[in-house]
Amino acid sequence: MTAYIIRRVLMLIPIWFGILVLTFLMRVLVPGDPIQLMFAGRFNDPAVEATMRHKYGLDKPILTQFYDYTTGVLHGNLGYSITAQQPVTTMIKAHYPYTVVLTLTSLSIAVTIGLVSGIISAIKKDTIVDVISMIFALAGLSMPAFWLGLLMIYVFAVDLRWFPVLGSMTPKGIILPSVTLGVIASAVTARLVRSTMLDVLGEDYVRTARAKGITSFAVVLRHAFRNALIPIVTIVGLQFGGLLSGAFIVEVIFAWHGIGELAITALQQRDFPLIQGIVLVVATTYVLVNLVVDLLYAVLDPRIAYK
Amino acid sequence: MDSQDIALASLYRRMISRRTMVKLVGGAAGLPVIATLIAACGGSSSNSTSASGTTAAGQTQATTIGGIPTPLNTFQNAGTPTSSSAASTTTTGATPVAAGTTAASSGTPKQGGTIHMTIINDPDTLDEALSSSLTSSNIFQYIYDSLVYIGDDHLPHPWLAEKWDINTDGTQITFSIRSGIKFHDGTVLDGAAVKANLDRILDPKTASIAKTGLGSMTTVDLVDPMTVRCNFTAAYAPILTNLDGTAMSSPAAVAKYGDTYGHHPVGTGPFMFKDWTQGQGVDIVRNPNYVQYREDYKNKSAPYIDGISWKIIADQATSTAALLTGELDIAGVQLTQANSIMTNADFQTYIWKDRNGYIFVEYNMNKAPFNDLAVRKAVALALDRDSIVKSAWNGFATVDLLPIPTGVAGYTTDLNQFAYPYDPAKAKQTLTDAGYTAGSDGVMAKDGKSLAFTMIVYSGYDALKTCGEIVQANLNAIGMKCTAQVMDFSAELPLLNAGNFDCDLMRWTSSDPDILTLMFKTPGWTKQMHDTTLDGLCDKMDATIDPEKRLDAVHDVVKYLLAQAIVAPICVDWSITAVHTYVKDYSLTVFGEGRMADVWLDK
Repeated sequence: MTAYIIRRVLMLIPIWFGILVLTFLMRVLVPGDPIQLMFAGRFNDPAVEATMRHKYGLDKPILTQFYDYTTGVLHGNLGYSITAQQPVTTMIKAHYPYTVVLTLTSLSIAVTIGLVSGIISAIKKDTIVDVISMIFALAGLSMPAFWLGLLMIYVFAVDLRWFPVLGSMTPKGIILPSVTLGVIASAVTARLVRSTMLDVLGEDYVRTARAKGITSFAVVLRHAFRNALIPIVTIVGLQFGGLLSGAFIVEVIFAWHGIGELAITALQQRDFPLIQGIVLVVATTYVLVNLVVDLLYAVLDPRIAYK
Repeated sequence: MDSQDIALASLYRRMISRRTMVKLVGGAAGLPVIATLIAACGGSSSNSTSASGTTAAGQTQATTIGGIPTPLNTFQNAGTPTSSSAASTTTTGATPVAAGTTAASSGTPKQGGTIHMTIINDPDTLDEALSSSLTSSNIFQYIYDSLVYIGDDHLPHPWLAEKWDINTDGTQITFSIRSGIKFHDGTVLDGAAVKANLDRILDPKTASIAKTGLGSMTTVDLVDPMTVRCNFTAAYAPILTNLDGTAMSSPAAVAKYGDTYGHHPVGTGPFMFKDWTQGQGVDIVRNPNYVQYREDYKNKSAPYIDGISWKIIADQATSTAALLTGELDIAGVQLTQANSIMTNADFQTYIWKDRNGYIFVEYNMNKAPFNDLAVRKAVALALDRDSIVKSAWNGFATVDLLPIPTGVAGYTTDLNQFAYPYDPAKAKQTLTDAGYTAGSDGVMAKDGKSLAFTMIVYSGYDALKTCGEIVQANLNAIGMKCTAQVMDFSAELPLLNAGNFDCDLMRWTSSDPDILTLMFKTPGWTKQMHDTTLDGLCDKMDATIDPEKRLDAVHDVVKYLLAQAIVAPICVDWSITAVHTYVKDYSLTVFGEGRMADVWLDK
């Protein structure tokens, strides 16, 4: 087990280096030059332009830039944002808590709705409850998040005035964006929970448990659900990683100042150091979440032993 | 869903410097789909019947809050407004469009309350000398005062400078600084402070983007404690326009905070910096000791409101929704929402029509087919500008036949006689006269080369995209084969600068007639210009101090641009700002900035 964990962690190094190379290459491959953009439409003073270029190290050969970048990152220095004139780490630190909070709230909503409706659907298979719940899940799967977000804004903020349009770290301000993301994410969970639960409920040991006279509630939760957990944890883990990467469009719609909103602004302005920093942080998070999910399997199912 | 579209506006906004810049997009672009959706939702329950969504023209206008901070135009010294500027004075800026309510100005001003507005992204820095972001300049105008301001008559007026003298050849301007003015940190604004500010911009080590705005200014002398003399190598006519907007920072604060001054700005303005939370927004509070020296403000003392709070909202549809719920008090309005908001009794709408920006087709004249004057003339003649304004901008734009915006000095319809109004028959004739004949594919051709080309349109501004489609249809109707290519501006710019394009649809803004110099003087903003005759005319324009004579010089440039058909002008798009009716005494300056020091809240 320990050896497995060590190997798994060591594997992160080449993956992480790959991310580093790719984010760096992106700068070279994407058209658009930030310094040129800064000067578009101004009397172009070549001396000032050269100073700027030098300031951000853009005048050096590509390999030198990559070396500087890599050593910087290893020292916790993600560079300096060209457009915001601030260290990239400062900006990410300012925005990341928002994404984390939104991830936690929306994932709680997603998991709650997903589990409850998925389990009920499985138990009440082919009843009207099941059909309604699965129609909702299908709707959730098909709905684009931005559309649901706008609908929420229009109905609950503009029309009913129950909640503010603009998201904020207050109980009222967090509800609309969380519900938007949560509802969308719950759809996948609900369908998955239903199908895995149906599989498990058909197993012999469940029938045995029932035959032994264990209450239906205990059968479902203790015997069936626990065994259905592995695929559910996988999908929720992926959703967790995905949400932590910033819900780009939903964040923008609700003026939620998370990492997704920051990423979009950075992309538009060709703020390469900032884009690289965000991608690096997001990708690292994603990889780490996946690692945790992998390790969780062993906890959930003692039969799984990593060798 | 193309998430790239979302915050495009932020890009375009930041392209604009405080006083002279390209203004590429009218304002915040939202996701086009989002804009349309919210429009379909009706926005406000009380006017969901307003026609919208019939055309694809979806994009916002919106230079939020008072629009673009670039001054319109100006002439040096005092003097009577010229006919051209007089024409625009009446419509520029403060034209409240009544929404069934009484005028905004009524009652005795009350003290208190905070105005909530929006910015599209974080400021880059609140140090005006180092900033290149429009977001920042939305804020500068409230924290910092300048030496002079451009009034509704489009002429410079005294502000921090009581008066000024210009020597006969225009190489020296001497400013008398008003006494008794203090910075927010308590230090005194005197000649030395003004000199320190200008010196800092002029110093190459500062690498100030504002340096180009000072033109040929080389040194600044302190004549006596309250008198400052600026020395120029040659007369530089745009200087006073550019000085309106050159912030006067407290030299003590600049020294104290050093590199972090941009996060602790100290000026003499009506509001003092309070807080800037990265990613959240900026707050400023009233300066209780403020004395207003600008004659165009009603309130001569400290502002009535307690402060202004800007929240970052990247998406235009979101800011419109927040305006409807009252979370914002003032906001720019998208085209799709304009009718709905204008008929909503909760709002007073201000339309800035004679703006200092315009839309046009520009060419790469270094290669076929646009190296041929006849082809350029034919393009200009082929554009159905009335239809474009109606379809692409829902009528919220003014047809412009001249290569200069309607709100910039020098614009006069007298010159329309040299322009190319819509006349497709004449366009075809022009091509035929130049030796073009229809090829087997129906496309006009000459010497085996057909008039097939690509027109680049930058993404993020829906109205511009629709405009591009109509332009394409117009050109194809006269026998050309125009292919429109929509791309991100940051991808387009390198193509333009490398000369790797045929033609493109562009939007430009600048306050002063030197917009023509910025755009066309060698190497031109696309770096594809090299016309020595034009250079000479631009130089003459920028060196002519006398207002009347300068106007003539501007006209000479415009006439030359028309004769050579160097661009095909299309229209001037309007800026629409909605203000809740409880916000009283709101008005716009000649540059579309909200006079927040006059505003008070009645609620």
